[in-house]
Amino acid sequence: MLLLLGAAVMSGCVSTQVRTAKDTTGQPLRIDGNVVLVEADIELSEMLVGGAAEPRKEWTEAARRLYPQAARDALQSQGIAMRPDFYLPADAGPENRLRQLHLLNQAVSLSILSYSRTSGSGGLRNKHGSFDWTLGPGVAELQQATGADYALFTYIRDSYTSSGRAAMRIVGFVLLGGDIGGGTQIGLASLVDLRSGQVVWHNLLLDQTGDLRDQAGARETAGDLLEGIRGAPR
Amino acid sequence: MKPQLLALAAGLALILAACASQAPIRDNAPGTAPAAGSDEAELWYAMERAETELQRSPLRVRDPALNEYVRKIACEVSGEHCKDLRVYVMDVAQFNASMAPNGMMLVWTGALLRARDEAELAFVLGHEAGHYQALHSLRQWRRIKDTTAALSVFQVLAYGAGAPTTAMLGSLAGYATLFKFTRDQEREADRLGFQALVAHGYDPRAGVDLWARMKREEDTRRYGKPSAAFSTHPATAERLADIAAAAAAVPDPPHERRRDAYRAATRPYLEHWLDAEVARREYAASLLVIGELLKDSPAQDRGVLTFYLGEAHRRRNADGDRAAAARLYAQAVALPGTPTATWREHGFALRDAGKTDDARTALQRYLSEAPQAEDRAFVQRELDKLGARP
Amino acid sequence: MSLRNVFVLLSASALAACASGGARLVSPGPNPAGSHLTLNSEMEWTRLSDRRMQLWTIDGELLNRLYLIPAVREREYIFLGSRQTQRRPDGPFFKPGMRADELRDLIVDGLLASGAINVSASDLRPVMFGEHEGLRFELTLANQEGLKYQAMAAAFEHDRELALAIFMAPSEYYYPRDAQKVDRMLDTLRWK
Repeated sequence: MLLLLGAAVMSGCVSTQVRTAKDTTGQPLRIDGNVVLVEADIELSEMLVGGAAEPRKEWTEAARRLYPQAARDALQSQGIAMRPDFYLPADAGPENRLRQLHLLNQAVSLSILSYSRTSGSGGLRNKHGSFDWTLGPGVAELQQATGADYALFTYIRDSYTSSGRAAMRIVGFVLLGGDIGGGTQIGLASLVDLRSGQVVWHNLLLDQTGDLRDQAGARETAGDLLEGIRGAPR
Repeated sequence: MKPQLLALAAGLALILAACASQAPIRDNAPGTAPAAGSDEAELWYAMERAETELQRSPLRVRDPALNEYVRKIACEVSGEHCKDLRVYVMDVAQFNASMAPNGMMLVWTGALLRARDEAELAFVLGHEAGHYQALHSLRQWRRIKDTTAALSVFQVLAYGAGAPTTAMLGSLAGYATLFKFTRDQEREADRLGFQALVAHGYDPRAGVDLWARMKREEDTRRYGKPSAAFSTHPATAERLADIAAAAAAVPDPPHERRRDAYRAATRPYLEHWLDAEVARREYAASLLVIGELLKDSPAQDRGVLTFYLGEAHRRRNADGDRAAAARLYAQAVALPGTPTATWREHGFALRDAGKTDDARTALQRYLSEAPQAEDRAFVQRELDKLGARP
Repeated sequence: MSLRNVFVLLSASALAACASGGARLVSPGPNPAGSHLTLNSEMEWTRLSDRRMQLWTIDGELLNRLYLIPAVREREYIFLGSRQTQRRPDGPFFKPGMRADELRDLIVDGLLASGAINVSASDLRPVMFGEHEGLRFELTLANQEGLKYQAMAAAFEHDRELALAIFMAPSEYYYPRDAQKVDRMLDTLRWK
């Protein structure tokens, strides 16, 4: 019974939606240049008994340290070098152009999430199946600020069960026959060519078992999230 | 879910949740921060995150002069807590001020429009600082955590942080009623607020004047949920009585209001705030607010206030409003500080009354005084339709 | 960006696609915009529509959106969805015979009420749409997080109802890219 429960609690699925822009021959674009990680927006919360998620400072700070390093290693294994991570000033308001670009990337990322299906209903008819999204040539300002050829934007939210929630989850499974869920990791990442503004790669990660609080977990998450980024052959 | 299972689950939930809040509430000595890992630390952290968003918010008013003025007053009334304080002025056309447990103070520009003088603003900020000093927010937050399932700290925070769309205010009204301070907590915050007020020589009657005015405004509301301020601070006659009693209890009270200093600091924003107030489309409230401002106003502000009072009537456009607006525009054109737009509205009102020559003069006056007006093409066309002078 | 926003958007887009029975391709040339409203398009769009309005987009509604509302009726909220009532008399509700600047104020206040920030209108001017006299103006605004948008609006009254078109896109890249074309498109709005 316990084993069954243990297995039930541990099971979960990892799903990703990698999208890549294509070159003129229809091949996924390769990355030829270095990448800067722009201010990763990461927050880890604890899922309380009632279902409310409460942000946890130590976990979030750990993730914000571990993820950039894990991302660096993941890209390095693809032969892609990274510039020092880039952060905007804490009080960067709407008048700051880099802030506008950051916000525009959010809007583009959400649009890709909604509409980049290659077939069936739900896509944008006028795109005719091609992955065609951009931040526009204004990214030159970000290129100047970072010295990089590509910018990697990341957004991760994750919630972990407290022991209280884990207990409830087992109770729920036993009594109700269903899984009330332990918490889900959501990751959104986009890679933008700073020489043109083109979004060359994009991914959505949904994961029920990822854990960004330790190094092994961060490597796994970075690997899943940054799946499909390929460096150009030398 | 079957009733027995519900009871079992609820029982478990209570046992587990009760552990979280047995931690003693620390003595909130100034300059201290809560212990890492305590539930207060997590609330503190959630506040930090909200503050980061606030710092970047498009609603944040960044003018250094106004910020410094508000900060100076907030600092005075928070006494030794001044060094914990960060003040944010948010461009929201409703009355509200709040202070988060980490020292972040929010003041909406609607509050700055409605306060008459430094003493009134000091009362509002001192009251909020009182809640902070006595850790009321933390007590309330723990109570919420223990008893409700669906609240997220961020959602509760968003309520105070700004960017309040009507939709958000509507859904948060539910949370806000949970977050309401108890009547004892309000009295305690008032007491602390009045202490601070008096220590700086301000007249404690200022609190009564302001709150009575806010109650009059709230009483104009015939529909919709209570406004932001009143969700957490009930606008009852009880509350007003409590404040009046607290003010009367101050022995040998001082009398400072510093009205002129307040008006001078806020005057550069007056037109923008009045414009935003009228754009809310809650005309009964706007007519009261602007009407009362006009009654107390110094000479140099009478023009702009009269014009906006006219605007509130014109836009409401109920019976008698057009006539009232026309009278007000006619007065406003002769008053100091009247905006150039007054000539345009005066011109249209004259046109509606059949006084074509006078209308033409007024509209021409508008165009010559505001050559860069953004509605120039529209007004020119209306002028053309009136025909040439015979 | 909040988690809630992501979820809301995901479910909203799914709903939008479902409600309209899927998206349609708009091709360059004359196009119906609902009821008797037509306009000429200069490029391809994807069109989502319901009974009372159409939403055209090229890259997704956060990046560009053209609202086409053929007929706002007397006492209706300017962007549809609710009516003026005794209980709620003061919102942005349309009345026939409104002055152009009053219509502009309705649209500005409607945008404010739906969550836009720092909304400001400019260059209000009278324009003829065929035989109907109407208006056009431009706008700047921002969303809750501060992303700046620009917009252009066109409206005219026909038979005591209002035809309304609004195009909105982020100031960074997206609005400048399409503004000239959409500007010409709005001039071709007609009520047949």
